[in-house]
This record gives sequence, C-alpha cells and structure tokens, in this order.
Amino acid sequence: MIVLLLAYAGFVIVAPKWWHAIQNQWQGNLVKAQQFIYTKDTYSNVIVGSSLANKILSDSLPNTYNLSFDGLSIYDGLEILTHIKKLPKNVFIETNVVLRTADTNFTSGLFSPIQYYSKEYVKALRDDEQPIAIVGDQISWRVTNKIINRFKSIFYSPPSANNKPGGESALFQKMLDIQVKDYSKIPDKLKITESFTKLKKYVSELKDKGVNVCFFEMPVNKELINLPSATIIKSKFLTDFPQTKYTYILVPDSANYTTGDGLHLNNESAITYTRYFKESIKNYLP
Amino acid sequence: MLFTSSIFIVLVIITFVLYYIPLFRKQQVSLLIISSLLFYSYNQPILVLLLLFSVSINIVSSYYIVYGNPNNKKQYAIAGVALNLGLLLFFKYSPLFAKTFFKESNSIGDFLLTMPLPIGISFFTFQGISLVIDVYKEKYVNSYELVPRSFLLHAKQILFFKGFFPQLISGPIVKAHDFITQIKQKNFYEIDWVSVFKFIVMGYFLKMVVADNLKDLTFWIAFPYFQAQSTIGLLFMLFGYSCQIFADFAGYSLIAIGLAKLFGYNFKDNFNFPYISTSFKEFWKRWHISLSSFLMEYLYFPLGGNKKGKIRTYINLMIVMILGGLWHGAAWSYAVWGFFHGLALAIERFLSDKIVIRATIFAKIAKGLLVFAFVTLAWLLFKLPNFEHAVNFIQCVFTNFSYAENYQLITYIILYSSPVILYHFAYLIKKRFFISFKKIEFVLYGFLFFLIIVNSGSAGAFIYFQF
Repeated sequence: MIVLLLAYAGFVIVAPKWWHAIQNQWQGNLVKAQQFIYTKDTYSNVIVGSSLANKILSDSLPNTYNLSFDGLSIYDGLEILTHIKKLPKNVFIETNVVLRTADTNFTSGLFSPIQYYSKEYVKALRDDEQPIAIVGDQISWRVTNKIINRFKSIFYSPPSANNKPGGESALFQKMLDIQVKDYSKIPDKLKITESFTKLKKYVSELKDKGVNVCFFEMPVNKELINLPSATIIKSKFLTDFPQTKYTYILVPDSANYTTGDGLHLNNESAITYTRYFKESIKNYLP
Repeated sequence: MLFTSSIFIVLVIITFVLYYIPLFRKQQVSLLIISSLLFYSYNQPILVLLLLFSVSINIVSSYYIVYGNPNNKKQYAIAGVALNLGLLLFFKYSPLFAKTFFKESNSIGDFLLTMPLPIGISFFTFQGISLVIDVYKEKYVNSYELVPRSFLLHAKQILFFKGFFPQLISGPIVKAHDFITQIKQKNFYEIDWVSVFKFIVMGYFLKMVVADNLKDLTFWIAFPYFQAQSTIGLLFMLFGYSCQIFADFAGYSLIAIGLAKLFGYNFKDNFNFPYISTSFKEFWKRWHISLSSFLMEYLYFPLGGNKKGKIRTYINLMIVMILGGLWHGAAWSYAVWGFFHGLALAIERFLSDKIVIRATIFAKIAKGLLVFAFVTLAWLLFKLPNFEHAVNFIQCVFTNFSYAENYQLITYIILYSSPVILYHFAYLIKKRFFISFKKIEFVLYGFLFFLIIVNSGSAGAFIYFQF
C-alpha cells in the first residue's frame, strides 16, 4: 500500500497534467476551492457567488478567480476568504442567491488541520488527482459516449428539437415553472435578517482589511425579475448596502440573455455576460 | 460522530490503548461505556438522557422478570416491551402522526412536529426488546446467564449491551443472548488482527470510496433535478443508488463488526451478498440479516408464521413487511416500500406452490435479475419519500428518451458501482468453482487501502442513520 501510495504521489508530481477529472458537483467545488487555497499566485479580483455566477468565465478576466460554487452559497466563498492570507484587492459578491446558507461541511472539510496540511504537502491527496476520477474522465469520452450513441441509434431516433438549448422546450418550461413558483414565495423575514447580518459581517471584515467590495446581479429569465423574492432581496440590498457607499455592477437587460432553466445562463450568454462584466470592472472600479 | 471522522479515529485509538493496559483491565466494560456515551453525545448531548432512560426501562423490566414475583413475570415482560415501543413511537413517529392526523395548525400537532429524532433509537429499542423477550422466554440461554443477581452489575451490563458504540446507532441489531454471554475480560493477544484489518478496510472502502462517491452522483435523483435527466441517465442513477445503499450500509456493518472484534466482541454478519439472491425470500435472508431475523423471531413467529394456513401466512408476511418498512422511516412511503416487498414475498410463495421452474443457470440468472430490478426500483422510495415524486420519476424514465446524455455521470456511476458487482461476483466464483483468492488477498486489501486514502468521496452521514 505504501509503495503504491509513493509511486502515485511521484506520478502526480512528475506526469504532465493532461486530465481534468471532475466527477461530480461537490468534487468540482472542492477542486476549485483547493486550487485557490493552495495556489502560489495572487489574484487581484475574486468573484464569490452561487452556480449563477459560476457561469462567468474567469479565464477571460484578467487576474481574476471565480470562487462561485454550484449548489452552494456566497457565504462558502466568503468563508474561504477569511482563511487565506493573501487577500485580493477586489471582491465581487453575487446578489441573486443570498438566502441560501453556507454548507459548513464544505469549508470545515477544507480547513480541518489534517485535511488542510496533508493536501497542501501531498498533492496526490487533492481531489483533482483522484485516480478513479482520472480513469473515468478518459473512459467517458473515449468509450461511454460511443456505446450509448450506438445503443440510442438502434432503439430511437436522434435527439429532437424538443431539447433545444435555451429554447422553448418542455423541459425548459418545466424548470422555469419551478423557479417561478420559488420566486413567487415571500421570503421569511427572519431568514432575510439573518442572512444580511451575516453578509454585513463578512463585508465589514473585508473592508477592514482594505478589500474593495462590489456587488453584482446575474441576469435571469425576465419572468422572474419582478417576482416577490427577487424584488424584496433587491430592496434589502439597497437599504443595507446603499449605492452611495458601495459599488454595484448594474444588471444588464435580461432580454439579451438566454438561460437553460430560467436561472443559469447558457454558454453563449455566459460569454456575453463575461464581456459585460469585464467592461464593468474597468468602468466601476477605482 | 461519524465513523469516517478524524475525531472518531482518535476516540477509538485512545479507548483501544486504555482498554488493553493492565492497569484498566478490570475496568474494560466501564471504559467502553464511557467511550460509547461520549460517542453518542457528541452531536446532541441532551439525547444521551433518552438513551439512559431507554436503558433503565430494560434494566428494571429484565431484572424483575428474573428476580421479581414469578406470578407477574408476564406482566413485567409486557410492560418492558410496551415501554420500549412507546418510546420509539413517541420519538420516531410523532411527526408522522402530526402530519397525518393534524392537518390544520394545532398546538398538539405543532408540538409533535418538533420532536427530535434521536439517532439510533430504532436500533437500540429493538435490542432492548430482544433482551426482555430473551430473558422472559429463556429460549436460548438461562435467564440467570443474562441477568446476574447483582443489580449494579446487571445495570452495567445492559448499559454496555445497548450502548456499545460500534453498533449503537446503526446496528447490527445485536440480540441479548448473543452479546451478554460474551462479556468478560479480554486480552490483547486474543485479537484476530487479520479479520479486524479485513473487516475494517473493506468497510471503509465500501463506505468512503464507493458509497460517498456514488452519493454525489445519485444526488440528481432528487426532485426536481431528475426531470432534466435522460432515460438512460435515470436508469443508471437508480442502479447506482442501489449499489450506494448496499455499500453504505454493508460498509457500516463491516466497520462495526471489525471494531467490535478489536475489543474482543463478535457480531454476526449483517449482509451476505444480497444482490445474488434469486428469490425475495433469499434476499431477506441476506440483506440486513440482524433486522430480518429479529422481525422473523420476534414478530413473524409470534403472529403464527406459516403454521396457521396459507391466507394467514400471506397476511403475516404483509404485516411484518409493512411494519419493517415503517421501522425504516416515519413516512408512509416506507410503509408502501414494505408493502411492495410483502406483496412480492406473498406472490412468490403463492407461485412457488403452483409452478416449478427447473433450476437451470439461465433460470437462476433471470430470477436474480428480476429480484435485483424489483429491489432497486423499490429503493426509489428511500430517495424520493414523496410518492408523487417517485411516480413522476418513473414517468420521466418513459418520456425522457431524447434528452441529452451526461456521459461522465454514467461512466462514474459504472466505475463506482463496479466494486459492488465484483464483490458479489467474486463470492459467486469462489462458491461455484472453489477458487481461493487467499494468495492475492493482501495485495487486494492493500489496493483498497490505497484507494481509501487517495479516492474517498465527500464525507456523508450513513443512510441508515436516519432510521
């Protein structure tokens, strides 16, 4: 076992990294967080957000790391920032999903002493180096898709227009209906107060350390914009973090953006929004 | 406290070292009781009071059955069983009663809804019942062997029996006559290190590498996410969930057995390769053996078993399986799950009287696949306790043909499910061709250990914790 472990640790260090082994959402989030925590680079800008902001292509943004996580909240990204020594100059906080609470398992796992130090010094223990994940990554594109496509071609016709991305498909409507239902609910007052109290604490900690905080809203389907959940949160932001004191990147016109499910931008719109975000950084920040 | 957490490993190491130090040899049981109470109280310390209350019911009732007025023996036993069940009903099923009988907001309903579910209550309550019945019936051992004359010694033994940490919160459900007779001083040199290592490594592998990774892949079975998955994706996720639930629970049981062995105690196997079963009856003899044997011994037989005619046998099977289903969770979907299994057992019994199928290899494979498919489909109710969502899932299986495939998801489900399939397959090969893997066993276990270190999934609570 020890021989195997040593050999694998050596392989991970020596071998050129040709794989991108993300096997599920949780592991993808861990990989993203670990790459940020253990990097030797210093980033000027960090984006914190949910899966909505995770659509922003940070590779296209200069000196920026996107610390947004699918299925998690802005508080997970903010909590990570409280643990690192080299803070960025600017932190961009998404305003869409603020009522979702932090997943304590996520950050506590990242920073528990045994996990933190073992993964810092032994690269083979990090989540993006899992051997089964690497094997699966290779198989899925070389084998699985061919077998399934062959199987599907025998039993039924190729995908129909019913599944057009970002279009008016039945699936899209189904997902949008769920979001409309969700956004139509009036959020619990106590939950709002708790969330904003927590957010204020994080923001003031960052400001005390000289970090510039900027808020931004991701465009979503136009049917959701004026529903109670969205409007209440938006007005709470403007009350607790007034535009006179805080910088906001204004949300662009939703009509120019397409989502896959009402909330998440499709690939094309994600590129458009990234361009808009890039321009906004130039205009808004000192 | 999770078996997979570092704090648990520290607790086990400290307990183990102190346990075998000559200075504490006479305090071994007390030491394990302290560790067990620490283990149980780690997340919700207040609930340790409930555990102690439950233990005290069993201490008193079992002691009075043996040393109380012989004319009242039956009453003591009934009271003991009733109080155990009452505690379980109150804490586990209050929210279900509230949701079922108090539709409108009501102070009683609201109160019942706030009841916390004490972790492991279903397991330690059943152990308590087994104690009371074993002592009353004396079917296996003389009651004096289970209940010593000294009340204090008896109390200590029962607290240890119910609270011993490897089996406290998720079983196996250890029966009184199997455990109490093992309580004595243990020696370091008696530890069977090879078995301990094998049980613990296989258990942690199944839990941390297989179940914890599958958990994040089968997450998308949740409502409404499954609606966006293709037919093939849905079927693979269901298959993956079936493997996950086995790896999770069998993994936990193996760790529990290995840990108990480390302290000199033997638990019976809780899983015996259940997915090779070619009948539903066989499945229940191989899956969660400690629960099915408990239900058979303490419920099915007392109801009359198969001795009171065919119709009564079918009714008994349904009662046992529905109650067994409800034991798993306080939701009607679990009763429905039990009903389906009861129905399958009853139909199988009915058909086996009418039709005889030749036991060819093809017939066995077909029957095995049928049982696996049914069991797997029924697990859906564990993942989607809302019946409407479960039906919607099935509808999606039939309608989402044209949806785009997630090849990565499918590939990883196959990869992480394959150890479960190989685990069963290796057993079949060993059994059929008398092949021994002994020579390569340690290489294999070394490889599994390596995967535990480098390829574990995100830590998640054991599925059976909720029961």
